[in-house]
Amino acid sequence: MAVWYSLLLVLGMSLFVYLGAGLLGLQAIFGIVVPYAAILVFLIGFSMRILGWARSPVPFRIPTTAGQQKSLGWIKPSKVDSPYTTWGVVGRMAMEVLLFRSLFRNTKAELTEGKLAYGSSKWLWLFGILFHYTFLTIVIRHLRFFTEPVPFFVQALDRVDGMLQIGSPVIYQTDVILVAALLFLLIRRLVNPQMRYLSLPADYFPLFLILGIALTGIMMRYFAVFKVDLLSVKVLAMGLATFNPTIPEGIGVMFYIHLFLFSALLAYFPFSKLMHLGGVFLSPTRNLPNDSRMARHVNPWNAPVKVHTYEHYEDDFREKMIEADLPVEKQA
Amino acid sequence: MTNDIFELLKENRGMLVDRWTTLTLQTYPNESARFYSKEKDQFHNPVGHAMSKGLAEIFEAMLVGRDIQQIRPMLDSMVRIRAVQGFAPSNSLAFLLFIKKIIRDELGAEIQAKGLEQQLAAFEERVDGTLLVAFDVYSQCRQTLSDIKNSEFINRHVQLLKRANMVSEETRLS
Amino acid sequence: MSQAPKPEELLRVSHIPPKKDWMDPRVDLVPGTWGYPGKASSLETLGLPNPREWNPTDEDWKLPPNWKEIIHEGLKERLEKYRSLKIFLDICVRCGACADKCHFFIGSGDPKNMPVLRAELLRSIYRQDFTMAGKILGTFAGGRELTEDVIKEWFYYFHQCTECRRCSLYCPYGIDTAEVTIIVRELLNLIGVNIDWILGAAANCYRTGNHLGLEPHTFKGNIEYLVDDIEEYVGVRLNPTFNRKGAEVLFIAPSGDVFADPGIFTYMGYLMLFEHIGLDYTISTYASEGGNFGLFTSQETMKRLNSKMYAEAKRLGVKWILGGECGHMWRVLHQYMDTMNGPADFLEVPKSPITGTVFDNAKSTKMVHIVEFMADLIHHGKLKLNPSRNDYLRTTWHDSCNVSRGMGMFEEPRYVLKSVCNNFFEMPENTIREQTFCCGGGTGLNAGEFEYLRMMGGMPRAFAVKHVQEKHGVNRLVNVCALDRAILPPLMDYWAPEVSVSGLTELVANALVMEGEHDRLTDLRGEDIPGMEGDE
Repeated sequence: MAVWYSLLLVLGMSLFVYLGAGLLGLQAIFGIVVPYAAILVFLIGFSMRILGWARSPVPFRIPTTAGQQKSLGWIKPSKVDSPYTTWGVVGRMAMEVLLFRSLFRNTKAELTEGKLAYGSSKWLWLFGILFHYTFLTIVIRHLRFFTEPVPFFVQALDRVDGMLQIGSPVIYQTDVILVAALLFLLIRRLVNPQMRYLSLPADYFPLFLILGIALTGIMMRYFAVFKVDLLSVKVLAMGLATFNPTIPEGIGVMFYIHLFLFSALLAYFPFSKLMHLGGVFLSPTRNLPNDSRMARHVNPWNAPVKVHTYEHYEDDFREKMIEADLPVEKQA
Repeated sequence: MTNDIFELLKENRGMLVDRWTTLTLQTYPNESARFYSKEKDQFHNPVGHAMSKGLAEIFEAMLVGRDIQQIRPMLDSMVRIRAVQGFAPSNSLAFLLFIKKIIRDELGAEIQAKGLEQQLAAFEERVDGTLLVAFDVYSQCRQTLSDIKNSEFINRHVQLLKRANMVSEETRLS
Repeated sequence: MSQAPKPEELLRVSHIPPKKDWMDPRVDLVPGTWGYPGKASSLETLGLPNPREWNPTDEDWKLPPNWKEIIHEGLKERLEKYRSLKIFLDICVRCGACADKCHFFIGSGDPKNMPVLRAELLRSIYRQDFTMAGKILGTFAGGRELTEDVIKEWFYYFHQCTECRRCSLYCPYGIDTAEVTIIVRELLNLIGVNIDWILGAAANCYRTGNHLGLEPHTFKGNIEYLVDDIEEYVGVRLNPTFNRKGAEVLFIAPSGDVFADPGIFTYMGYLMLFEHIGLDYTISTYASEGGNFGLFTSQETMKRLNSKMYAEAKRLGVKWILGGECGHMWRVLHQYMDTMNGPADFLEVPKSPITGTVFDNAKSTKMVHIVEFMADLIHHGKLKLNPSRNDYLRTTWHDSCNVSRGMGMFEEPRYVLKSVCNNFFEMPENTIREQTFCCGGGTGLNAGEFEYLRMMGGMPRAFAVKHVQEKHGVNRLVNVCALDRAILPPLMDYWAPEVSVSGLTELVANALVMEGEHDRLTDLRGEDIPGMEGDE
């Protein structure tokens, strides 16, 4: 059910744009109002979320230690897996954010009874990291629509991405990989009963949404029927970027669907699990050093509590203590 | 082509044991059945590993007709697990009878065509015998658990009980 | 009379209905997998809410009339107090990397024991009540309504988590189910839903200082009894002191080591070690529990129980504190104590009086782990050891969860163990060190009535032990945790018979050559040392 709802939602949104921008001619709404609104929601929502998290303090220093602590001088500590300096923490976070280290942790190939077996999580790591990096590349590549002149690194990235020189127009490797990775992540949720059991609509929806964005983009680029006038698209994009929006003629409806789905992704982002993008940096089990016995961590709400003091204790047991030759503060 | 049921079963043993394992693991909820059957690392998946290894061994043993003493340890690894997983006793052991149905489903036609029913009955008797041994193993496992529960209490308070002269070496050993 | 079922029909009725959506909160309380409720008297001792007699199998749990409001407000308060909670509830993408990392899932096959789902049990309530999407979209956004069934489900599944943090190791965002479990148990305690084994122990610790509730004279008497045993087996008379002002070091161990088998042999080891090096130390009857059952109850209770350590160190005027072998005790000491009850500015930076080593790694908390202390002594050659006395043992090392993933102590114990025992074999790589498997009974699941749960939860650990038993003839599982010492022996009895369990210091003391000792024909358990009897 969760799958169908999510798929229908994305299809419904596309149909909605087809009706609105295609048949009713409301290009100004779908080309200007929606993107601006989406960006606004994204920026405000994202900041609010981060501020919301930051507002709650970190009362205790609770890193998950994944390596040897720093203790005696002659025992080699694990600087990154059990960091005790700021640089160690930076290193750990970099490994986490850039290489998905924790996800990689369980992906060793295992030799079991003479047969080499791979855990499924190896694939999860591989397709996870492929998805994230290709998505990033594609977003950066799109900067060519929003900049004039197009910066050097965007041009370079564009060339590298089309390096294989297959097809005309040249096929971007990232397009292929992104779709493959998305399909893997989707199929994994559907085929594996364990994953299907725990997946929510909120897990399928972003996958379909991004798949929709990717497919509409690909259709525009590679299929003549859906081709749009790139120059007009650039005019529209530059207009948005320079706060001087215009709606040029001759942009096909496929572009508006593409833009709308992306806007939807932006607007949906702050309210969803996609916020892991920001949250991973704030995760207390990863971004704190394992130095809690070396340096005192202060808890801002550390409140006094009712304790059973030694005096009370002695009052409770004084006679028995004296009889057992235990020293006491006050004689009976 | 063979006219001996044991040869026939031997030829098909890969398929039969696979089906047997699958069916046995399907007694767990779907979500875990998949994990138990897919995860290959024996230390991350002790249940699946013990079941697939144990069933293959038992099948082999029943083919050859090994005696009880040899079958017992093979059963032990599987029954020991089932005995703590909250199944009713009948549910814990029913998986052993599964092989009968699998053989009839998969090879029934061939067996009938070749007139091997009599021989099949001989094999099925071995299955029944195995089940009876499994009962022994099962009840011994449960007995161990209840013994453990008793000794746990003594161990946890051993120093106090000793001081109160409530425990002797004999009680602890019993 | 109905017809006898066919085997495959029987099999279809597995212990958990398969097709049920996880959002359905109704649980079957499978015998042997849940705990008896906290006694009213324990709750009264600790001043905790809603003391009453109740039973989890009853329909009516006698919750306070406004329980929903209490839970809601309690969650709200904790979201404001813990960034960890907020982030862990918000950013999980349900990638499933943690799903098969939990020993309870591996052993029981119950899908709600997948860490991601365990957290979803709270997350779904949070979404419904605290997020915009959940308020508007409800179930579609993954929200669930808070009902009494949810409370029962929480009670069941958050007492099937040992806060071992193994899942957090594999999570790409470091989401730690232990944090979620800690918070949910706090919430449950707000409405008086808890288990006796934790609450009873916490109440005892509060009143008498240790979890069995031994009063000062009994506590002292128990240790003196161990002194007698040492005299018998070793031939040396020791004189430990209690509550002595002016000692250099205050020694605090988990109290289980004072009265439970095999922990008592570890305690005998502590006493012999201190005698051997001539340490100026004292034992407190007031701060007589290293373990902290508050960690399994609430942050506040944890702080209340932990406060005794610094208070007693201050009263006695010691220079620093030495802590015994315990798991969750060290989670609290390493990651919480200084923050909760510090600063310990009345103590000095710990310095070993024997080797002169300054423990800079504990310069703020001023508490040193006995294994760190022993490793330093051995490294400086300050212990006279005869490791061949342990030759009858073929050992393996169980990394306890808390000192592994909440502290990072891996090399010190291995160094000590290899120094005092010639036969040491590691278990498979993915079951040790930071990837270690829990014993299956931490966080109060040690109660007798959890017997099946513990056997299932400890299965992955036990199978790794069984592997080295079959491969290398391992017969002793060594560890550094009092709960392990209580939980692993029955686990071994069931899964890997003939493997015994002991603390590390017990083996150190076995090997220690004490001044004035007689021929050591037995180990500290009073059992003949094979090979030694022939020397007579």
